Amino acid sequence: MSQDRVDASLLILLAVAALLVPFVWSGYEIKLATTITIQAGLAIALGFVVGPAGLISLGHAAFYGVAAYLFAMVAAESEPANVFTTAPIAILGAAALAAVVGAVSIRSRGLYFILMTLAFGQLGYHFFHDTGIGGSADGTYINFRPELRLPGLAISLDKAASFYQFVSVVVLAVAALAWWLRRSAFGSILVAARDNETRTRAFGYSPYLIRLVAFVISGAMAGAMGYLTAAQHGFVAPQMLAWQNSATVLVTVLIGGKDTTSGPALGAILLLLAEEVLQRTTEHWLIGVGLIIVALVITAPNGIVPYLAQALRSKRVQHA
Amino acid sequence: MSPFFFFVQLLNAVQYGLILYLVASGLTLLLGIMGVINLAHGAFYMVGAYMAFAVVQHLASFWLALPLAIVLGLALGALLERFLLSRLEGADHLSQVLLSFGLILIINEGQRIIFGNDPHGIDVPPALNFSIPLSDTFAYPAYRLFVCAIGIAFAVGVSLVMARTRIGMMLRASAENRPMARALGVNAKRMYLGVTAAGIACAVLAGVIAAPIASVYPGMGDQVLIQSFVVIVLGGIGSLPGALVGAMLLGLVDAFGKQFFPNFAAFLVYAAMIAVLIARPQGLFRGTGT
Repeated sequence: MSQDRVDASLLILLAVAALLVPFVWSGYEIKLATTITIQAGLAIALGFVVGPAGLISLGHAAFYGVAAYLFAMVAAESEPANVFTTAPIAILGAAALAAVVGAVSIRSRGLYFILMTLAFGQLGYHFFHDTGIGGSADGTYINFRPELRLPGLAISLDKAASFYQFVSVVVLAVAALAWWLRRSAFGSILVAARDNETRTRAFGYSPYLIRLVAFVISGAMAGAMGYLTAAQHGFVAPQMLAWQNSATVLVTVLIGGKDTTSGPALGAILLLLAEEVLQRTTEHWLIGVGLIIVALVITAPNGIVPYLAQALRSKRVQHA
Repeated sequence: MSPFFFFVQLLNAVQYGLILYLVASGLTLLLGIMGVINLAHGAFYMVGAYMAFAVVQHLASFWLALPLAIVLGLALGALLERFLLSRLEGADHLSQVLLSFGLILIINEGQRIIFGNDPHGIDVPPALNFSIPLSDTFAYPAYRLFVCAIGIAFAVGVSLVMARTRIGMMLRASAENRPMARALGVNAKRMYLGVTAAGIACAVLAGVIAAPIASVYPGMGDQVLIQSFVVIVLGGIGSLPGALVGAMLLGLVDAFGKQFFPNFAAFLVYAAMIAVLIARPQGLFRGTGT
């Protein structure tokens, strides 16, 4: 099977699994599934700029965290906020920040770009950590989980299962958007600009502008995930913006395979599940995570999904 | 403000900058010559600091830790290149980022298993445990001057090797144009082994030297890693003189920032880097850009 078909099949598989979760799991497991689903969405968002755009951002935690803080700031203190009014503010805020960071950073290439985004991310972290805005190091609380309110309709997300369903719908929408964008003309131009900037420019496209648009879309997606995380825990802290968080998401993207849509999601799911299992067996579970990562890099340097596609392809060749 | 206060801060800046240079020089060579972004560099720095702690505890001598650091660093670097990095040659550069991230987790957790979570202090070696008076009220610790001396000796030594020797010439050629240097007969395999071993040894050695000044604690490599990346980006990737200038700049921003804007010192470092990269997207000195 070609990589695209493996990618699409895996996406459908993951979507079906995501929709089945509430029928199989409840209680603690459904909260874990919520966390994993949000992280998978964040990985998809980052994968979209790391893969097709070739922009390795170490600052995505900033967009994720800023959206969470924006939500905490606009949420009412004594009643549930409305998703339809607060989420757009959080997401647009993250997109606006991504536009500023991208406009400045995309001029730099390679490691210079990585470090630019990292520096902006750290500025964001220290902004919330050191200045007293948003409760400094202690973070800030959101008293009520938001609900879906339209005229004549109010859906509460208080129950873990209903909140999970909301999260999975949002993340599946983000995944579908990322998959569609990768296959669209826009995605092709992104890849073209990554692989040969001069020729892309000769065709009349501006690589800078195209990358910036991709970066803003990805930042907005990351912001949506930050909103969901804030809604899930009712708590926002500066650590959400720290570079370690960006690095962990980048790791899940690379483990799964940055050139696919399902890869980053799969990477996040596998890594978080491995963490969960290891945490139950040993206090020093991080060493296990490290060993898994090293073993994966050595066997599948381009990621799990490309490795799978390769394995399936060579099997078919053997049959023929 | 007294001129002595200013002078003491200046010495602090130089001393911190030189330790950063020791770490960053290995990082920039690995990146410029092999295209390896080694996120585990800070973890190796921590290995050095904990090794100094263990040596002082069990062998009761700080000085022994210095040669041991070089031996341990060379060995770790050689193992890293031989068994891990060499397998990823030709693969996407990002796979090395991933590999070194895995190594950080392994090294950090290994440290917790062996030494636990408590921070440790290391006494300054008795021979240097005194201060040199500058005025009636200001004095400067002799150990910090010793750190400056080692740093300066290292910087001079490295620039002599780079400018005057055959090895230095091959290194410069490889940083400039890897395929061409290879075509002209530079043995890439041996050079990669040497660069990795020497680069890691520098990081471990820096950890040992810094241990009596900073305390030894889990995750101490994180900040050094980020600041070293800032240093090599400021200076231009692959450029050793650039790294030295970048390290001094960062030392100044750090030392004076902590005095005048104690709440915003970290802020200043990143703001300074963004400002430099906006003005010069390739760093102050032209690096190789990989």
